[in-house]
Amino acid sequence: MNEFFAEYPLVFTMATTLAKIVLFTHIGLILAAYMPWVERKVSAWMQDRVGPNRVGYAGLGQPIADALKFIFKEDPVPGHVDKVLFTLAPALTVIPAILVLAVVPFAPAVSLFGQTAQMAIADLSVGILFVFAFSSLAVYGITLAGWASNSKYPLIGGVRSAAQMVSYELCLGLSVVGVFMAAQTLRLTDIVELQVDGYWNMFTQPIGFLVFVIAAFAETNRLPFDLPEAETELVAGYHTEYGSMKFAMFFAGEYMAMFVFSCLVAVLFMGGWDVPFMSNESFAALGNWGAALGFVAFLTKVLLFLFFYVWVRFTIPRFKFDQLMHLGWKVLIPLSLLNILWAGLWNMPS
Amino acid sequence: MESLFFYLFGGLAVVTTLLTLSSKNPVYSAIWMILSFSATAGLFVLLDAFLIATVEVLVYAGAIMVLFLFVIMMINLRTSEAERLRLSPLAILAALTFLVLFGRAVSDPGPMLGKAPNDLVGDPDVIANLMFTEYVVPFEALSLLLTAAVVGCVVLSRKKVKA
Repeated sequence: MNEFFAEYPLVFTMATTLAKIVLFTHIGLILAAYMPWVERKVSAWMQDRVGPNRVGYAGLGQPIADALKFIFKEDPVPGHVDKVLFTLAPALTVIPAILVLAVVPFAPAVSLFGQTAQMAIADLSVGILFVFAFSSLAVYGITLAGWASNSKYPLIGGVRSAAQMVSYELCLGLSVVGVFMAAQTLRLTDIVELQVDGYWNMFTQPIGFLVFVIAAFAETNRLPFDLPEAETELVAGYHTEYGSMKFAMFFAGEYMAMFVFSCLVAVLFMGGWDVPFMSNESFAALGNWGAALGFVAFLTKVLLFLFFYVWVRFTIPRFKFDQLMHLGWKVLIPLSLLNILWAGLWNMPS
Repeated sequence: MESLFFYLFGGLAVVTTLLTLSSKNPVYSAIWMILSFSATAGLFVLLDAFLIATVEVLVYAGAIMVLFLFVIMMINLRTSEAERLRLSPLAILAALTFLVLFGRAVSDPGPMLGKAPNDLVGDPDVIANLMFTEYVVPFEALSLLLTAAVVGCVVLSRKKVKA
């Protein structure tokens, strides 16, 4: 095997890339499928209830049962909608989230058959910009769903989502500027390796971390920023007219986006695969076990952050729209500019 | 392989741009335009200009088109009012200006084409270095101009409040 791959490195690259695509997207998809279960269990725990416990052990079969139910339900398409966009919109919420996974480094490089494979599907030199490029496309799914439904509550939800995403994308982008000022690179693998040897960015740039986390909640339309679907005022917002599997796709898209943003927080601010008191050398010394350890550490951070998402949802009430805009433009943007100044001073060449 | 992708993305860009112009529904126009930007980004990737490709998606397909859609949805345009193409003098003037500029751009590419594009575009480092050394004054001047434009927009769009 070793000689074969040494002779044809392209075959190795293609095989590992395919394997990584299958593995990483499925981690995302399975987590996205199980997040509603986590959400219901955690909320039950916080509110002193039992939560789902009928299907399988501790209700673990519930997501499968729900998915089956969605698949077998009638797929209603109201007569007044724009049929093409109405059908396309749910898919458009899922696809950008999956695409962003392409640049997320899950673990230190693995060596196999005498070759090394980076544990990001594509380790691009423009990594972080790629993330923003595709996460900025996520808004179209919701906006077009609102417009294509051709009725007033979905339209309000869609317009709100467009305004919200544009506003919070600004602070999201600005809050990360400090990170790549410190790393002097846009490549996510390099950003992680720098944190493994140095300090995690959440400690050196606490303001940037805070702004990024808040903006991440807003970008995924999670409470307290779920104004596009605000049940109490807009029925269900942009997905009012949807049912069956199309409705489930919106859910999948939301949970997928949560997973992706958890990955990004872990990579950019919480040291990626870093374990405290480990350095790049000690990871390399452990070889593939180091990669496995890093993978577990990374997933732990992602799961913790996903738990944090749920925790916040059942703790903080929803903003009003003017408060949302006020927070985004007048508080978070100045704060992220402050963070850039701070990062510049911290990393000043002496 | 590369030329196959070139014709794929190039064809897609041309077709989607034509569809942008010919769609009666402004929302569909916007969507075709997003696809056209994405196809252009694909062309940049073929030139190894990853940074420009990403920025094309980020700024044009992402941010700017969201604003377009937002405005279209806010004022709730359904099908465009002007069903037939009318030849107003202004339109002809605009078309002629474009043709002259385009012809000039094609016939005289200027000094930039002398350099191999791959040295210039691929890596963000290269662009950043050029931007903050050789072109730092134009860069700062542009930023200042843009800031002034933003402030101007805010002032112009504010409602007059009677004292």
